[in-house]
Amino acid sequence: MKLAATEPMGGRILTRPFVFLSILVLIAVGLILFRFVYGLGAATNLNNGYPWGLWVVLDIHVTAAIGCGGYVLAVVIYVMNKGEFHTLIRPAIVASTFAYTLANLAAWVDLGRWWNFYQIALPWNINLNSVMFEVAICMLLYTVVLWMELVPPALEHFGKQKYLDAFNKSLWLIIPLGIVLPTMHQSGLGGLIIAAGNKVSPLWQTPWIGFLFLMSAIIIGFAIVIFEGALTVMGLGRRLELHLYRRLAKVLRWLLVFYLAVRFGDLLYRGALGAVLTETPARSSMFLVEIALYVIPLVILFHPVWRGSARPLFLAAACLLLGGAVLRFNGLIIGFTPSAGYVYFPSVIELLVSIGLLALEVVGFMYIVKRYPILPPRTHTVAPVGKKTPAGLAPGQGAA
Amino acid sequence: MSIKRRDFLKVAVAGGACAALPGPAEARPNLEVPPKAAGMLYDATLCIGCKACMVGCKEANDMPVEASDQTPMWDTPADTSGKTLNIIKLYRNGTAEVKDREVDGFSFVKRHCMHCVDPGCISVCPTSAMRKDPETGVVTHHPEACIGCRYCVWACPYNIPKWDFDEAFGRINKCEFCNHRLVEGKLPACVEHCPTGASLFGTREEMLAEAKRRLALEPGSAYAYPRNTLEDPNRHEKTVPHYIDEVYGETQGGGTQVLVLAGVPFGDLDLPDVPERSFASISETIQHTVYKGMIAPLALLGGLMFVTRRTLNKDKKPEEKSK
Repeated sequence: MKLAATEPMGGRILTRPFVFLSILVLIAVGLILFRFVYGLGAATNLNNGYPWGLWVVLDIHVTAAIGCGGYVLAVVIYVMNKGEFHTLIRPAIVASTFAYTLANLAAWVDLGRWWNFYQIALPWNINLNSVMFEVAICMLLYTVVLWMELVPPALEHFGKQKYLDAFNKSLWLIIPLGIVLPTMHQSGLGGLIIAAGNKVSPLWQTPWIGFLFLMSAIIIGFAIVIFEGALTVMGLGRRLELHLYRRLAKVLRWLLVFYLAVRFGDLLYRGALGAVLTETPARSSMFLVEIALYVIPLVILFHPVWRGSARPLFLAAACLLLGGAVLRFNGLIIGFTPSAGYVYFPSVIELLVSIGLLALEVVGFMYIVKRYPILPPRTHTVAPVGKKTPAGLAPGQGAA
Repeated sequence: MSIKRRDFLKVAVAGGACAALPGPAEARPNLEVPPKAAGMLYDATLCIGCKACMVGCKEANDMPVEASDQTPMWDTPADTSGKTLNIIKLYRNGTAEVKDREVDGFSFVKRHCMHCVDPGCISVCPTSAMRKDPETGVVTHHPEACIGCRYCVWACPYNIPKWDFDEAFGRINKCEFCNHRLVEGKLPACVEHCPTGASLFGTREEMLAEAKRRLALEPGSAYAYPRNTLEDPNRHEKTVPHYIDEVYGETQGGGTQVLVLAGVPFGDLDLPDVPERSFASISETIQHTVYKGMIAPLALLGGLMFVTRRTLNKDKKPEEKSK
C-alpha cells in the first residue's frame, strides 16, 4: 500500500529537555516503587469516600482519551478513505501507543491488589455484567493492537522488507480492531459512572454518559492530532501540516455541534439542566467551565479567519483537550458524592507520579521519532498524494 | 463501487452507533429475593447505643480496635472501614433531649452491609470477587479474586465495601452477615450480642412481616419486643414509639435483606435515598443492549474489515500495475 514517506528525524537524544523530563520520570519510578511497597494509603490521599482519584481520572481516563489520535486517524484514512492523511498517522500511532501503554501501567499502579492483576483474565472470574471488565480487557487488547501497528516502522528501520510485506497483509484485520476496541472501551469508561446511580450528580449521571465519553474521546482524538502537530513544530522544529489540520478542523466542528446537541438534549430531556442552579458552587462552576471549553473551540472553528490559522487552531485544540479532561474530572470526582465527611485532594506523590507518567510519554515520543521512521522527511513537502502542493508549504526548517 | 462503499459505511456507522448508544431493548428487571433469603431487622428505636454489636462483630471477624481521636480510650472508628464492618452512629439535633425525635432529639443507627437483593458491588466487580449466595442471598467478598480496583467502594449506594488503606497489601472488607457463623447454625455476632433486640435475625420475609407489624401498632401502646429471633422466648415489653411509616430496605434499590425501622427520617441516619430500580439493573441493561450477543461490535468489525480491505486494495493497485 502507498504509505507516506517517513524517516527518522535523527539528532541528539540527550537534549536538555530530554534529560529534565527523564529526571521527572525517574522520580515517578521511585515513587511507584514506594507505592508498591508501602501501599495506597501511604502514597496517596485516597480514602474510602473517594476511592478513585487523580491516577484513575488523569492517568487512565484522560490519558486513554488523548490516546485516541491513532483511532480517529484510522477512521479518517481507512474508513473515509482519505489517504492524504497518511503523513499524520505514524506520529499519532506512536503518541497513542505511549498514552495507552501508560494508561494500562497507571491502572496497574492504581490497583490495590496489583500482584493479583492476572485474576481479571481468568475465565472463571469473568463478569460480563461489569463495565470495568469490558473496559480493562478492551484497553489491554487495544494496547497490543497499537504496538502491532508500530511493527511496520520497526521492520522498516531494521530493513526487513520481507517481514514487512508479510505483516502488511494482516493490516485488514489489525486496523478494524484498532477502531472497534476504542469505540467499545471509550464508551465503557463513561459507562462506569452509570452503576454509581445517584452518587453522581444529574449533571453527569445519564444513560448517555458512555456515548458522551466516546464522542468526547473522538473529539479529543482530532484535537490531539492538531495539538501534537503544533507541539512538534515548536519542540522539534518541524513545519505544521496546516492544510491537513484545517481539513480535520472542518470535520471536528460538526462533531462539536453534535456533541453539544447530545449533551444539552440529554440534560433538557431529563430535566437536569436546572441542577446547574441547585448544585454546589463547585459543581455548577465546573460544569460551566466544561461547557465553555467546548463552546470556545466551536466559535473558533466556525470563524472564517480563525479556523484557517495555526494559533487559533492550536488554542481550539488545547481547549478541547482540557474540556475532555474536565468532563472526566467532573463525572468521576467533582460530581461524585461520597458518604459524609470525606474530602480528597491528590498527594504530592500522586501528583509527581502523574507528572512523571506524562513526561515518560513525551520522552518516549521524542526518542522514537528521532530513531525510527515516524515523521515525514523534513526535506520533502507534505503534499497530499496526487495533489498539488498548496502554496506556502515550504519544506520543514530548523532543528530543536 | 462508491455506492457500495457508502452502504458499508452505513453498516459501520450503524454498528458503531449500536456499540455506544443506550437502546430501548428489553430492560433487565431488578433481581428477585432469593428463596431462603436471610434477613435482619434493625429497629433504631430499640437501640441504646451500647455498641456491644461492634464488639461482637470485631471478635467474630477477628478485627482490631480503631481510634478516630488522639487519646483513644476504647474502639472509636469514625466509619465502617477496612477494620470495622459494623458501626453504631449517632444522629443528634439541637438540644438532643428526646430519643427518636428529629428536632432537638437523637437517634442511633447501625451501619453495615445491607445485603442488597440486587447488589451493585456484584454487578460492577470485574473479577466476580463479590458473590451472592443463591439460597441465603448473603453477599460475600473473595479477596483471592480481587484486584483492588475499588469500583465496589465507588459504586455501592450505601458506601459499604471498604478498602483497607492502612495496609500496604490491603484488601476489601465488608460485613458478610457473619456467613461463617450462619453455616454453623449460629446467629450473626451483632444480633447475638444485642441486648435489646434492636438487631433481629430471621428470614427476610419474617423480618419484613415483623417490621410491618410494628408499624401497624398504636404509638404509646405496649409491645413485647423479641430478642435475637422471633422464636426466642426472652422478649421484653416496651412502649411503642412513633415510627417513620416506612420499612427502609423494602424497596430501596430493589430491596435489601437488612431492613431498618426508625423514629427519625432515614436521611438523617446516613441511609441514602435510593430509588426502587437498582442502579445495577440500569447499568446492566445498557451494557447488555450494547453488547447483546456481541452482534453490534462484530457487525462493526465486519463492516470495517470490508471497508479497510477495499481502501488498502485500492491503494495497492497502482503499485501493482507499475510492477
